[in-house]
Amino acid sequence: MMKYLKQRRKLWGRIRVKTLEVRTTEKNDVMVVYVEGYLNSLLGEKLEEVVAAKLGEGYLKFIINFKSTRMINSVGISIVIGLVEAASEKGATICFTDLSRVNREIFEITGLSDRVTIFDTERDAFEMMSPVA
Amino acid sequence: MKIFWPGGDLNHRKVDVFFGRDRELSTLMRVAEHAPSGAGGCVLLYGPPNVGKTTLLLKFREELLEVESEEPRMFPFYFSFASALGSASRMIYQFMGEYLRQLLSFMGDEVSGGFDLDRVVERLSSHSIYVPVDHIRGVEECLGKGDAVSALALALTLPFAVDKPGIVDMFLFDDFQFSMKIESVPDWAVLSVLRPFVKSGDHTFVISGSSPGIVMSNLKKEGLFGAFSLLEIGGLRSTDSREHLKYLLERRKIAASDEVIGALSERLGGVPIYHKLFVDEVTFEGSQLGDISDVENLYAKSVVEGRLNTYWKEFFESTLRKRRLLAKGIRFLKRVLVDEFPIDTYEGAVGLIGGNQEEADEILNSLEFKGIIKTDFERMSFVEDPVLKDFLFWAYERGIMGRHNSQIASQIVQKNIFRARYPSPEAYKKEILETVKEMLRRWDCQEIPTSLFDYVSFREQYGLKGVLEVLIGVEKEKVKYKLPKVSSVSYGYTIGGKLPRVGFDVVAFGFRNREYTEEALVIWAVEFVADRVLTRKRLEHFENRCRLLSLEKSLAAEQLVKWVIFEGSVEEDALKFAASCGIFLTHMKQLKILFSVFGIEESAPPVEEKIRSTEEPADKTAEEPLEFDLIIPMREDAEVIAAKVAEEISYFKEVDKDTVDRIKMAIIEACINAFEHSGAQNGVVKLRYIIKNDRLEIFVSDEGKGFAPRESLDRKEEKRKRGWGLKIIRELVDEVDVVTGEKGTTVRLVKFLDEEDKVSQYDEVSKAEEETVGEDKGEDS
Repeated sequence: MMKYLKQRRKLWGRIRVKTLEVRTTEKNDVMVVYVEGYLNSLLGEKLEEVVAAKLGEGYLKFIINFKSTRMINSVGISIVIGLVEAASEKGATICFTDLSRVNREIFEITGLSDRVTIFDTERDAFEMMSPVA
Repeated sequence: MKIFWPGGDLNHRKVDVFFGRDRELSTLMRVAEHAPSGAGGCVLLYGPPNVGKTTLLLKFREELLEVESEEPRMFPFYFSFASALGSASRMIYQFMGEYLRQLLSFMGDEVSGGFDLDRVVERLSSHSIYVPVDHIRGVEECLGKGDAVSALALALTLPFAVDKPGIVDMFLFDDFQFSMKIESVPDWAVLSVLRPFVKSGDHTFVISGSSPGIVMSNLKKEGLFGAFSLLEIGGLRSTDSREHLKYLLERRKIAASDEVIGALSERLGGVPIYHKLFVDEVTFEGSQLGDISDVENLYAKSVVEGRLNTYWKEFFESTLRKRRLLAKGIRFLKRVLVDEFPIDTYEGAVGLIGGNQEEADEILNSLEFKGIIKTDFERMSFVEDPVLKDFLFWAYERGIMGRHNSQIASQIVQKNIFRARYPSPEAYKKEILETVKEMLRRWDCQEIPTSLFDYVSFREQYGLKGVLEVLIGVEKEKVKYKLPKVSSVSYGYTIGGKLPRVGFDVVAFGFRNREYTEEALVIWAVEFVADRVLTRKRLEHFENRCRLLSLEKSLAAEQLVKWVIFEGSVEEDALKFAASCGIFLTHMKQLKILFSVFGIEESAPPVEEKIRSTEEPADKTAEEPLEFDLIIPMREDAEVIAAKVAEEISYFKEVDKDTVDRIKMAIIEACINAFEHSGAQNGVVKLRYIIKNDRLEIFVSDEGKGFAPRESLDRKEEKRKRGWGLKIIRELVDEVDVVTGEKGTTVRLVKFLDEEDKVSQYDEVSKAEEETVGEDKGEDS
């Protein structure tokens, strides 16, 4: 059995977290940002970089879609708070969409939900931000 | 008319390897002998899936074709009802097409390319066989009108309508249970059409299926049950099983001794499909079968995550497609097959499954359809299969085939199986000794089978048998050993005075026959050896200490009982030494039986000392809590593993998705706090998950420097937007306790599992799966 346990230990070492990704698309001046994976410091920083770059390009309307964000930790949240503050300073509007129930609760606990508007779906957010389209 | 279908069920079903069904084959051949005269009779072959029924049937057909007989000649027509996959029109065309094609082939002729009815009829007529074409047109007409039952009746009676002088049909119907699952056709229809032909006694039918109950019940409904002889097909007999394994191993050029093959055959229960899967796995993994431990290792791996696992997993997932039913079905079978609940009535089974009658019916019918259960109207029995038992144990322990992270789940199971849950070998030893002490206290002149104190005779009698089998065997033993009335038990006994100071793990003082005299005094010196191998040297050391004790207490030889409990293997030399000194040897396997004799269960591993739930369970009959340990390194994203394990084990309690997410988030935060603030030198965080009836408790511990928990953020944290961890945890779970000090911090998280919490996820999954089932219905086999 020892041999088998060793094999198991090897397998244990192979467990990896799924790839983290931030994707963006632009629709009628609204920048939609998709956050995919575990929102930890790594993904948080990626998100921060992307939003900062888009702010630099002059975009002022952001929808951050959390549909594929499976988990969030407090480090990731702190980065998102910083990001929202930075965007507000530049006069940008940020909406969050497609949050799971627990992620929404966490945003409420940390007070983030008071600083951004949260929509159930990306479409709802889009209608608010770009009513003409 | 041209019919397009791949044709030739038999083209790809040749019997290359045939082992060990000679007895069954000769029974069938005896039936066949009388078939031409119309006195053959009918046979129902039944057995679990993939046990070799089809191979037997095909081999029987081959043998029949080899027989050179005078007229009338016997034409064995083989048809599998599984090939039509439930569609009435497909089944009808396939039946007729297959019959005519096989008949043509029987005449030594064949038509190549697609199946062209007109050509086949023409060719058959050249052999003086006349097919009533109107009969077939009638089938088409009925199908055109949507009358599937009439079409089926015409199709099934085609063989009897074909004019074939000098030829007698013999019907070999395989997977017959599928004849009762044809869409738009009542389940009794096929048997009802065949009824007059079976009843006449002029035709021979051999029908095979993995669902004797369903088939039998329909045979009874049609009044045909008496016409059939029953032939059960189980695992191969021992010699045949070894021969089969030997053949498969030699074919793959895998070296294995007879001893190894014997052990493997026993493990796999002589079931040919397991032989094949296991040998495939050995080849695929590039493993060796050098000795029995290799067999045990590979077998365990195969059942936990290899091909044997996949085989049964697929079976259950396709048989019980709704997640809820799957969970209930696995739990039910585990209780019956592994824990051996005595169930033999339908009502008993329904009661054991629990829940509503409808669900229980669905589970029992599905399992019956796939051959796991054999039901008659009066009684119910279950397939005997050692691999299935092990799989069920695994599936149950794993949380009823919970999804995701099989590696983590396997890890949990392995931890339970191999006792790695104890924090250290010392803790494990302590637990065992504590239990031994508890048992000794209960000794009161009972008579115990001697083999429980005699490893050699125990090994000879019960070597590879399972615990339950041993229990039954031990109960029947006639030679008993009378225990003393134990008056006191202590941890160890140190011999002092002028003699060297030595001790024992446990010492019990007692009196024979409850006579409280100096002469009747008896001392049990107990030693627990957790080493991999019990050596002679170790026993010599024990024996020396016993001699010292005898000297000091002036004990007669029969007044000191020397008892060594061990866990690993034992040197042959040590066995001889023990016998010569009169040392009782008990392996852990024997000890477990002793525990059960005294109604004692092994203690659960110790929970964190600092914090422990003080509440007693409300219901004392409630299930024992399940406990799992996990140690994760303090490195980035390791907390995800801890969260995933929580998700995995939450399947034990059917917790809804949102609750699982909350628990996961809380664990993530507790782990991150430990990573960031503990400063633990050992670089690990320990987690203990305890699942009780009404709650999930998680302990997250580190051996760091401790911290002062605060409710509000300090200025630095405010600036960094950090410090949310504890606040988030408190919001997400129902109870949070933090004990922190110089030796580390332990955070206890409790999430109560309300009834409301235990619902939606499974219903959602079931709904989704029902949709899938609807789409995939055609592929169900």
